[in-house]
Amino acid sequence: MNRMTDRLFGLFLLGLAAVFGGAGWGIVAPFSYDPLGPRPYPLLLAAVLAVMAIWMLLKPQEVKLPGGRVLGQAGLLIATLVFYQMTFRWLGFILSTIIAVMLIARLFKGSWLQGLLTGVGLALACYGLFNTLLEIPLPAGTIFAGNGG
Amino acid sequence: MGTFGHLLQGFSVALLPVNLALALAGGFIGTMMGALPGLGPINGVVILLPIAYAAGLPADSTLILLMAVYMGAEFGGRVSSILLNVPGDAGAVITTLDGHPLAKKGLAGPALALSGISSFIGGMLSIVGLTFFGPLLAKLAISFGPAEYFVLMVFAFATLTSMMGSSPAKSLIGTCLGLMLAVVGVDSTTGVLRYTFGEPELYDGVEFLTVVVGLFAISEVLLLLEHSHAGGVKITKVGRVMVSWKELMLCKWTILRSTVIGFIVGVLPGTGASVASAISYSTEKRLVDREGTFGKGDFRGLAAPEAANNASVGGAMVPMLTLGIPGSGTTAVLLGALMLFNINPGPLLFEQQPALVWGVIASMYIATAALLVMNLPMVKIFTKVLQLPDWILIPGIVVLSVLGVFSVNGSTFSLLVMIGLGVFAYILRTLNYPMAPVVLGFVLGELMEDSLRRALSISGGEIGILFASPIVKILWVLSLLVVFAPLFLNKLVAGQIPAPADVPADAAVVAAGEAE
Repeated sequence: MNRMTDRLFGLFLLGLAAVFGGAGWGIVAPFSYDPLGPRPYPLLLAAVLAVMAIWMLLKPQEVKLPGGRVLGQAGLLIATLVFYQMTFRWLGFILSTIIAVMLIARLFKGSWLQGLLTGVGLALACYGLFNTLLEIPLPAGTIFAGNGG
Repeated sequence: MGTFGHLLQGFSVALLPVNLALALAGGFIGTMMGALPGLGPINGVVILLPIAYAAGLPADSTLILLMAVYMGAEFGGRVSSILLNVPGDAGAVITTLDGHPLAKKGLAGPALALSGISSFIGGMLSIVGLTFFGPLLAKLAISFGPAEYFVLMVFAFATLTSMMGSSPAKSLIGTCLGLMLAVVGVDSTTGVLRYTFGEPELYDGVEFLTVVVGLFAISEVLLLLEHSHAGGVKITKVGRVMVSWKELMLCKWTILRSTVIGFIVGVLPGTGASVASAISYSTEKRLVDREGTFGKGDFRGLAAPEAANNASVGGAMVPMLTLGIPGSGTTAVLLGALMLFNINPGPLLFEQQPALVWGVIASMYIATAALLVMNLPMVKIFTKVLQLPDWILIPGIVVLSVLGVFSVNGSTFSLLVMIGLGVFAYILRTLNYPMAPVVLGFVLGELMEDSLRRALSISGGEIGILFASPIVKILWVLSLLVVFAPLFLNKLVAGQIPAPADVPADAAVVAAGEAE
């Protein structure tokens, strides 16, 4: 069963090598100053990856996969990170950080209150550190800026 | 100016108040990062680098800070190995073998003290080695042309492939993925766009900090899900952090031998603390373990990996500063940091940037001395860190990673790239692909292609130039040797180290084992 996952990933790598090689084939320099040009090197990499991917297809290894519960949590964590990225400018650093931290803290066995306190603490500390001490402005949130924002 | 003159000049840089403060702060943060299970030197360096860069620190101060973090983490890794039987980072996996049994016997204090002293001796002597061998190697490498560079990198990847991780095939795939990532962007010679898919933010290539934060910090957070705990870990009583003169003398040859092994393994490209500590432990077991006490709480079994993993730091800096070839995953990130400041690492670094190189070396001496103080009388502070619950620690890592990448690029697109790479790295690490080859490939990729193309320009397209000079021939022979050496070495090491199943290691840390 576990070998199958390793083999499937080998298949993915083979596909990646094909796409990389295919896109690499289309690299054309109008004129080149060196005998090799920009195309052969990426093609060489794609070829090596293809050979190794086939090797993994033939000789997959036993891998220990995390359980379904952990994979589900990983999915939630990834979704939280994407949510954080999407709301970073819109809600502004402070609000978007508090929400993201609360959700992440829940995944790591904290209570809602512990998550909220961690979020508020982290958001305010980092906002203060970056905006005043390091003089790197963080997004204040376009949602609060009215129509002009 | 001789070595001592340069070193004095270095101390004048390292002793500037800001650099001194950064070395001390870095050592403290590094020890904390090392002590926390799952977080190792590379995570510490990766999380702090973007923030230091965005804050506008100059190159020498940034490097001094990151070096201190790197060394501090190698010191700190032992704390949780001894007290919790969970290695704080990859280099400390072997430390659990004799460290935790000692703690169970009620000798946690002496174990912490002895491992601190071993770490100090290993670290200090390896910096002395760096001070003297570095300039020598740099002189030798000045004659390197593009062909030599290309083959040198082949050698680096050969070492990496043969020494890292569970499978050479997976190391090679990781190298390929890193090299492929480095191709993205404008081709510097012809100006042709490669693999940018019409996205203007990719014209300059995938940004270095985005890649390393994604590959290491984000994937680490995902891996830590499996072992999350709500805090309140029970910690063995430490007692007095002291070791007797007799116990120290028992270990003196072990410490010295392991220091030499750690330094040499550190110098080899791509292999760092985890390999160094494993080899030194098995060597000592073979040489001095007459009563079969190794693994049951033998002081020598604790001193060996600790001296070696700290000695590997000084060793890993030798090829990085002299050849521009990183000796470990962490030094690959440090190398990338230099490139951020438009400093080209390589044999000319010692000539062109003496203040930077010697300033960093001098600050390594200072940081090591400071780390001894932090890790003997003050070690109990770091045992408190172990009780920090995950629901504070992990969100903290995420917020700092996001802030670092955002403040360097000023774009949320880079955050998306960071998350994507983090997820990809999580899959790779779950399937036992080592990460050091990926980051080494990414950092060295551009230089490797450039050297190949310049070498062929010189020869007019004749491929023979890659096999012509004596240096190139030696490097090819060495590459073949390292590829076939493991077959021989495996027989020597076999039976000396418990099979992975017996090592009481945290699975996440073993997965991180290849990262370091």
